[in-house]
Amino acid sequence: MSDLLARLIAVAFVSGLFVPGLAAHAQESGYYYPLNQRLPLGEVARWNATIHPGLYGQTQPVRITLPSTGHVTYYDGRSPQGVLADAPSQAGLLVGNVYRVRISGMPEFPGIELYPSIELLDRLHPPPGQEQNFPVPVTFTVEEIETALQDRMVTKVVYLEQPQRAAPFDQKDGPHIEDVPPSSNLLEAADQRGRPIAIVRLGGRIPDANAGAAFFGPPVPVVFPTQVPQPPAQP
Amino acid sequence: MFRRAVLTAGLWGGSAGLLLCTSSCRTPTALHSSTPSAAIASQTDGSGEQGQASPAPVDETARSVAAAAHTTAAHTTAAPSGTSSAPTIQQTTWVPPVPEMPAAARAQSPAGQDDQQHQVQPVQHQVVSPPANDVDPVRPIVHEIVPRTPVVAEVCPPGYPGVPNMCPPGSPCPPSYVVVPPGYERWEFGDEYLCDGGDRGLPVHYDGFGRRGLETEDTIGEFKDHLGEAHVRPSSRVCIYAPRFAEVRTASLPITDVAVNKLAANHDRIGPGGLDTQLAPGQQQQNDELHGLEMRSRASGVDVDMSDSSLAKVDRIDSHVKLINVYEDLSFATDIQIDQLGTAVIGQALQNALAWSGDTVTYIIAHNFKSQELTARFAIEEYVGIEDKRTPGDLKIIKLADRKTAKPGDVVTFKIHFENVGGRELYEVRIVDNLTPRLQYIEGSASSELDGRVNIEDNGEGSQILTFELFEPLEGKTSGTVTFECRVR
Repeated sequence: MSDLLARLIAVAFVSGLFVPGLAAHAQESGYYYPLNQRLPLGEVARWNATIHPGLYGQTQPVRITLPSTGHVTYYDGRSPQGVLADAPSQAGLLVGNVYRVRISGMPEFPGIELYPSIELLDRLHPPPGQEQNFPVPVTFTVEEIETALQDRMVTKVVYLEQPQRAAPFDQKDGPHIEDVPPSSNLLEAADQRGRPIAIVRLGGRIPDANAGAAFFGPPVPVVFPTQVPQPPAQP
Repeated sequence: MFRRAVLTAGLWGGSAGLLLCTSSCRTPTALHSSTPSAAIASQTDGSGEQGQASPAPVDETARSVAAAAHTTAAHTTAAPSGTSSAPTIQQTTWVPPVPEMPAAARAQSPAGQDDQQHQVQPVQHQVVSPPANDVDPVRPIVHEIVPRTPVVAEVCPPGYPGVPNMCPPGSPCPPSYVVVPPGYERWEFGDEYLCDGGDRGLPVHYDGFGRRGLETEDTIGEFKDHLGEAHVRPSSRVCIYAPRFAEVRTASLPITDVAVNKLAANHDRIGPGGLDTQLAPGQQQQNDELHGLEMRSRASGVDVDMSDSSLAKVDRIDSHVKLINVYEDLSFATDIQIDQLGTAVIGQALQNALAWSGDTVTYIIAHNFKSQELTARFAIEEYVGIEDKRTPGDLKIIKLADRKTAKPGDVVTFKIHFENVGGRELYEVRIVDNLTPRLQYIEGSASSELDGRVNIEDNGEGSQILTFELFEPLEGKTSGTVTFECRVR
């Protein structure tokens, strides 16, 4: 090995090129963001729960929407088959945890089952009694499912818009989606636009027959609403 | 959120702080054991579990208070009521010291009681039974001491079906469910609300170029008072719970190890620095020279020679004549002429000054005659007529919304109520509302109780600026209301 090669390796170590997901991406906003979407599952949620004491374990309603219809299966550890629900489905997830759900029964993709993960970072604070009326939307579009079926992984960060900097147009078909380059830090981009709430990862990975329940991670409770959400009550 | 994490940069230091708070969470009563009022309050609860599970400091303080009560109760055993005081005092509510009884009442009390017993007497009246004698002593004012509860937020997460609560009774909370320490409260909840009204950011003001500081969400009232001075008053702020979400998305290959190996590959590093790569650009430069040969063959060389011959440098030298012009156009000469003109003007001014310096001016200004004409009687009469005891006019604006929560697509009706709280009129009253980007004004929905008009203009941020102008001055102690509707985006 030549001396030049040895110097190059030394420079690479110092510059952090061998630390995946931490320092290999430039900061776009001028701030240093130690977290990004490439960290292992649950790492960002744990950081956020540590920064904000009292946040971990709070229940936040999440509404999962498919392109048209289908099924959503939650895995809370009670049964290996999970809890099957029709889409769009709304359930309460605990902040600071990672959930892996199964979406299936989509008429646009017959016979296709995908297992996206939802990492809940933060929660809302609606008025008392209005919790179920303001869930966090997690939507899966047709193009996202097609991308996942092409062995690519779709990563999304759902964030709460800052009202003063919100996009001045209507939301007709779900939340506004902005595509960013793969090398970007999604958490940084979301933090610049609002408050990150959840990280959604959708890929083509399916459960390994030999892995068993390890694919779904540690069981985390899922809170199902006892009644159908009602429209916002008028004052 | 994450920026804050970076700024603190002491994640594990923060964890240490959390551990401190965890200790306080585990023994909340220990925080109040040093204050007698808290200890008494814990006794006031009367629950048996306090006596069993309370820490030692609390028991000590409670025991001291109870001992004092026992001391007084020992004397009360000789009282006419004849009640057994020891268990009674332990169950009584603590009352403050009682003022002395009247002399008449004291005379009828049994002998052998000192002043201290009189102070204990109201305790028996309060708890055990009415006084046995006919004398109605001064009844103490019973102060119900509410035990101070520590202000905690989200000590334990709420339970979920199947699991009643994360924290079993009697056991401390897990470390993650600690009390929010001071300074760590969440402050960014405002992003869940859609607010409009008030004057956020730079206050609205006027400068030499017009109105400044009117940001989105601002709602102000402009008017001129009876002196003609312009004023600005902000309205109240109204907020609606209307969170809206968006997503940032990317798609990539899930295998990150391959990308890392490529970055660390030796070939990628050596390739750009290879000697072969450096030689390649040199060969391309030679190709450029070949293109230069084509240019020479394409253009006629004769023309080039003619052009060279026509380059009479003598002509260029002629252009140096401009230098002479420069010398001729010296501005010094012009300046000198201007100075001379100015000197002439000054000379005239001096003559004028001489003319004004005569004594004639002094004689013309006959102050005596003017002072005689300006009698104070007329001025006083005029002042009485001008005097207006009405208070200056001022504008008070209140903005209201017809709903507390909204989702994208809902229609919200805003009502701006303005009132002249002063006595004099307000002129050129205008109500200006710069809508937030998430509010879309519905055309034709504006209405006003008073005669006026509404102007709608784009604010440059995707929403509109609504300006309500009143045709007539706003009289004192009068009010009006403008109403309009917006659609939540």
